[in-house]
Amino acid sequence: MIHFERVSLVYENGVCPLHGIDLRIEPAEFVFIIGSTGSGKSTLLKLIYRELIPSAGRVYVGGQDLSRIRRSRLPALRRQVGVVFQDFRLLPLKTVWENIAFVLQATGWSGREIRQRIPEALDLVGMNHRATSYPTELSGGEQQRVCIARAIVNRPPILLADEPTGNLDPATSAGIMQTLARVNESGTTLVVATHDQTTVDDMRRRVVALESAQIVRDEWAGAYHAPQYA
Amino acid sequence: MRLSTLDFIFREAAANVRRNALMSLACVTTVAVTLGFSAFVVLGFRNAENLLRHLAQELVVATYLKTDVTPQQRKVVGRRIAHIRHVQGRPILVSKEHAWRSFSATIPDSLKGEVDGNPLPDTFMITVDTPSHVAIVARRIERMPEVDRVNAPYLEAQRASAILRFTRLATTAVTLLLILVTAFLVMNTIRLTLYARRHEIRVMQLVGATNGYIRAPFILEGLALGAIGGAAACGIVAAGYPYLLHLVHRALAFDLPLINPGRQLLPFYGQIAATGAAVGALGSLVSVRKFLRPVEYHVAVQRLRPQDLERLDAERDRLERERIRVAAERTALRSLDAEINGMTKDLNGVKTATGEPKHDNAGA
Repeated sequence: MIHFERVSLVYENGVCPLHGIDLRIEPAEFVFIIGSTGSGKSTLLKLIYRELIPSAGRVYVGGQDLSRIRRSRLPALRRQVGVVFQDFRLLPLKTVWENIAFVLQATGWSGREIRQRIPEALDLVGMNHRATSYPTELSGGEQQRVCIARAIVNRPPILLADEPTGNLDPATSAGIMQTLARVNESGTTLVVATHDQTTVDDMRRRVVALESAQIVRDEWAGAYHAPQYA
Repeated sequence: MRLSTLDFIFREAAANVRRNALMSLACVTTVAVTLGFSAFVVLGFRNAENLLRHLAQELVVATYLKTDVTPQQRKVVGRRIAHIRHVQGRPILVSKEHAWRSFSATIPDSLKGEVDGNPLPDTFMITVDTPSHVAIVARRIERMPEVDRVNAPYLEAQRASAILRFTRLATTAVTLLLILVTAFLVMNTIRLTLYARRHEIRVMQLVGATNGYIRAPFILEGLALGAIGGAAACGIVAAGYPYLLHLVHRALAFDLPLINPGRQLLPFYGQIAATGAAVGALGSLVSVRKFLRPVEYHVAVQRLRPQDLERLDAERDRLERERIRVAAERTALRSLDAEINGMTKDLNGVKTATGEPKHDNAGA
């Protein structure tokens, strides 16, 4: 489903957040990308939804080489990849309902389908009761849930979450992770970038650890720290 | 296009105007003021052109017929002249009898006896639509067999034609320049509103909206704001132009053939509103392009060649070796530290047994 082939990325200022990354993620997998701040987790996600293009190597999503994809095909690719942003990126002048409807309207869904899908998505994240609220009226955890609802409402086969539990209390974090796990159970490939040790240790899923721009560990049902340090 | 798509575009455009009321007002005001000002300048030029054309119509082509032309032939010639392209209205006939009567009234009676009969010919006085056509019309008439000669104001027509051409050119240039200025101002105002909403555009891109879909509400918004601004400019002209005419009429002792503020201006109002709408839509289209560049272009990423990768690999290997060396040194230092600690402990044990003061290794 997602395949990184000797991927390196170097910014114009010489900073190299990723180097020589080889990674394969299969459909319906649940993968944690872990590492300290600045280790390249978010960059790796950005390469998957093509907010960045690699300096060298290839990134394949659903068999498509993202370096060679035509610009006109980009919207179609992005509809296949839902993204939960670390900073939520909700539109402040739109209500929760409008924020989610916006995605469907912007991608050409009919009014009937929109009215049917939004309550389902809001129900999954437990936010049906806040549909008419504005993002500024919501707590961080609630905004994160809305962000998840927005990312999954058009049922993309891939869901990326960048620090979904960052700045949230442990109880809320656990709730968010349970929601993401439910989404994964429905067959969605889930890639979560995090440095939340508790979350990773509790979930026991595949762990890909990044350090100094490289993958230093790829472990099935892994914990945050490598076994010798646990 | 699906109905839901259209509905989305209209709703988004309306919501954008509502939510960014202040910027929308700024945009409408910019269009209204610049187009209003432009309209007055253009009206000034159009009036000047009107005036010149009116003066040019005073230029008359005099056609003298041969003296043996019968009244029947004269009638036919008059009809043929009236049908020539660019001839305005019917040619005015000054018959030889009428001409003689007018002429004889101006000469002394002593001279009248000297003239044998009526030597004057029949004459047609012809008005041409524009000065540039005077020569063409005169040449066509000269070719008629019944015509003796043609007296046309060639030089005056040439001058009037040049002045008219210049005025027309100036009107077009000034109109285009003012439209450009309006477009530039509108573009900048719209760019400001777009800058405030760049995150919205980014989110739309990231959720998979096509560029056309993102662009459409903004263009519709620009079109609507431009049209409203254009309508406001029409209001300014409708209120200000009659007042200006009143001032001109009061200042001059004679009447000038100026453009009427009534029905004559209706098509001009339509042009102003259409220009506003077009400029607004165009301004939006150009402005939104900047914000629709692919997301990855916002971040400068180096393209690496194989030799760059080798260099990176070498650098990484060097850093790894350095890391291992530092780690080994740290380990060696730690074991040395442990050894010193052990020796200090032993020394203190000996000192306790002999009653000497203990050695402190904390500062070591």
